[in-house]
Amino acid sequence: MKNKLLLLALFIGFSKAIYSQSTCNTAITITAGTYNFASVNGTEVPTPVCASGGAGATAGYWYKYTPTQNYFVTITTDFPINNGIDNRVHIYTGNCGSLSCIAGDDDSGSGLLCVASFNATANTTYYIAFDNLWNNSGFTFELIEGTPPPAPPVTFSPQSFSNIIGDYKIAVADMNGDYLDDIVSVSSNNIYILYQQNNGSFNAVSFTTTTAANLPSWSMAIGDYNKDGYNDLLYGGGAGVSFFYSNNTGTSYTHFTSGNYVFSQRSNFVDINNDGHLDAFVCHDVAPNVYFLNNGSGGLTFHQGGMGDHVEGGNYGSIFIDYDNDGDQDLFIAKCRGGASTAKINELHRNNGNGTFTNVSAAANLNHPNQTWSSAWNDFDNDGDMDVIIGVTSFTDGGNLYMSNNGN
Amino acid sequence: MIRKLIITSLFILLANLIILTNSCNKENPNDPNPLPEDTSVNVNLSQVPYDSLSSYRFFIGDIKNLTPNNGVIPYEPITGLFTDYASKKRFIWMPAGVKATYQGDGELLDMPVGTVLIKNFYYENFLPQSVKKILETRLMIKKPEGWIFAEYKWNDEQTEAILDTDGEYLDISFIHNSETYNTTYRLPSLTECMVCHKHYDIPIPIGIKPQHINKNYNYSDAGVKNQLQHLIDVGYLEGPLPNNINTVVDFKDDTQPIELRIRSYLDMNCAHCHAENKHCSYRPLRLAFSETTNRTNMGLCVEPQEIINPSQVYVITPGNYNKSMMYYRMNSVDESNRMPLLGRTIVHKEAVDLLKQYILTLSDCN
Repeated sequence: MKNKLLLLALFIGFSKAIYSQSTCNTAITITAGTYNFASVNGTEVPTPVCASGGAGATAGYWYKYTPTQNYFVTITTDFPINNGIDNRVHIYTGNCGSLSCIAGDDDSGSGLLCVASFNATANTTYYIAFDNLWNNSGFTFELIEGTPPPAPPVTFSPQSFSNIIGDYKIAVADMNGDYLDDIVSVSSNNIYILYQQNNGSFNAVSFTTTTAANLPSWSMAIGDYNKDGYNDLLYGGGAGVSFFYSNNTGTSYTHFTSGNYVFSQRSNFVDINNDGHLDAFVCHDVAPNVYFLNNGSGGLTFHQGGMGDHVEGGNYGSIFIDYDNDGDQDLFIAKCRGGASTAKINELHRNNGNGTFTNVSAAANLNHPNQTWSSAWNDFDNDGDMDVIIGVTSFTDGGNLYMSNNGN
Repeated sequence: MIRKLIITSLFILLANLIILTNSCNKENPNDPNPLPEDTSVNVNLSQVPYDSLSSYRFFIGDIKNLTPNNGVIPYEPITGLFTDYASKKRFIWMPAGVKATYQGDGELLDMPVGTVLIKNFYYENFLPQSVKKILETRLMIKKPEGWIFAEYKWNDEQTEAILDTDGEYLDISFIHNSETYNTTYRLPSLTECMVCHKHYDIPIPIGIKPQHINKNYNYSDAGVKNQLQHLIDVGYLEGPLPNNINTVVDFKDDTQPIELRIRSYLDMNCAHCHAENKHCSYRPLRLAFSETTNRTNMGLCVEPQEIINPSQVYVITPGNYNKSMMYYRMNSVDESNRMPLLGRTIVHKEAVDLLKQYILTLSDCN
């Protein structure tokens, strides 16, 4: 009697407990619905890996699915009954032994549960495989057949550049003045440039340099401060700033550092003193901001003071914009610091046009204590002046802000 | 009458000056009766920091032996700050007639004006010569207006250390636990000292809290003794202290519970920023020893606010160190990803292993 009851319970159960198979070839066909299984214990490990987390799984659990019409299919394990389980899914097309990834996921659900969606084509067979990279537990999952979202009016395709080398792959700039953006990456003894060609291909050139005293682990800026037609580089490190300036044929780069301690959260090439020569500004995380004034023949002199002078720093994201439409570049600093420190209060500095700046944060109503790392300036409301979206890194002291420029 | 007094005073002053001058002038062969040279610790608060470490006379004999002068008391935290496997010798000195007071188990001792904390950084097996080498000595000196930092860089001859306020990189090689390390060691600038050693913008020490030094130490003159008791006995600390001080453990002591060990480590290495009202308090972590009794404060099942890789689902993911941001950051040497931010350029393997073991003991978010 007990057995019969159990059997009955199984039959009317919410989910269909079926025996899936342990390899791709023996995967059992499923349709839309909810399923569960006890353990990821199949002998064939899903390959290739279609989700984050990499290789290392030792077992899989296989299903296959062939839609009768086109669907937007979601495989979800995001159910409270699965709480505490860490699973991973891979979805393939092709033939067993030579499968191709269509979709995959590790942790998009709540907690560590996986959820993956893909556009399924009628009469195509898809293999759905879970693996045991994180644990062996079985779980409940559902296959949902939905309507595909409308096709976007414009789509983008990823482009890959297999030959970008160097430890810091963080810059794109026109390095040789041919109006084509190039890809720049650097290491302590090299500058690597992928020069873009007219046909969209790239020509790789490696420049050997003397050892950089500071590496761009925190920031990088590019600008032609020696005015020879070839862009120069600024490496903002955790304890100082290095410059590499071009020779006048763009065929070698020479190192310069002032040796001063700077925790460079952000750096900008900008004409600070309106003398027509590009200077360099560097945001200091833990002290007043610093800048390097250009003497007009490429010589840079270190200065500290006058452009954000809080003794504790707190400077994370500097950006130069003309917020008052007077034709010179003003400075906004996104700031951040824990506790009650006033170093977290954002700052706006008006360029006085003579190499000096005035802190107008309070008057302009941009002196927010929000924990800020960045800001984006644009004329968002199309009224002829620059507005700002201020982005926070933590909601401890307030959220993201949109501040509209009143034009006064 | 007043004038006479002034003149008399001037005479006495002048006489003193002459005596002082004579006592300083050791080269004078005609001086029949030189005063004995002052060999006691020399901390003139209006003149520190001195240009050289030897000027303080903290150490007697060959300075590189770091043999403490009278009143220079060694101490050692139970779990220390990791700085690229450098060994450390720490001392405290106070002027006569003043002493520190207890403020709480996890609070800094309230130290009197004139206190100096002395921390020497060295490697036992420094390459290429495979010798002991002292790289730097960091002082914190309490002046009437507050604590100041003074950083001294040792010379290659190990005969002197010179004031160095701007910071410097040193390319070094050393052997630790039979393994050779090559790295670029950082001597901190005063600004870097301040990043960790502060309460708001006021400079403060970190390690000299009862919960960190409540342990026995083998003194050369007093034998094995509790460090707090010794400070009381030498007159540096007002006693008695509470009987049950909530004390950290040595993170390397595998007889202790693993959670207590990792909490002790996180306090000394992280809590100067990740605690209430500190440098990084806008992040949810609260890593002071008194705060990590709550595992959520330690980051258990807390989503990171800055995403480096979506695989790091939580700061600490139960049972899975590969998905734990804390593990990732402590295992990184990249300047913009590693934690702690300052003070290390190589991975502290023992600590990372301990964190890994700890994470593996956790099975859920509670």
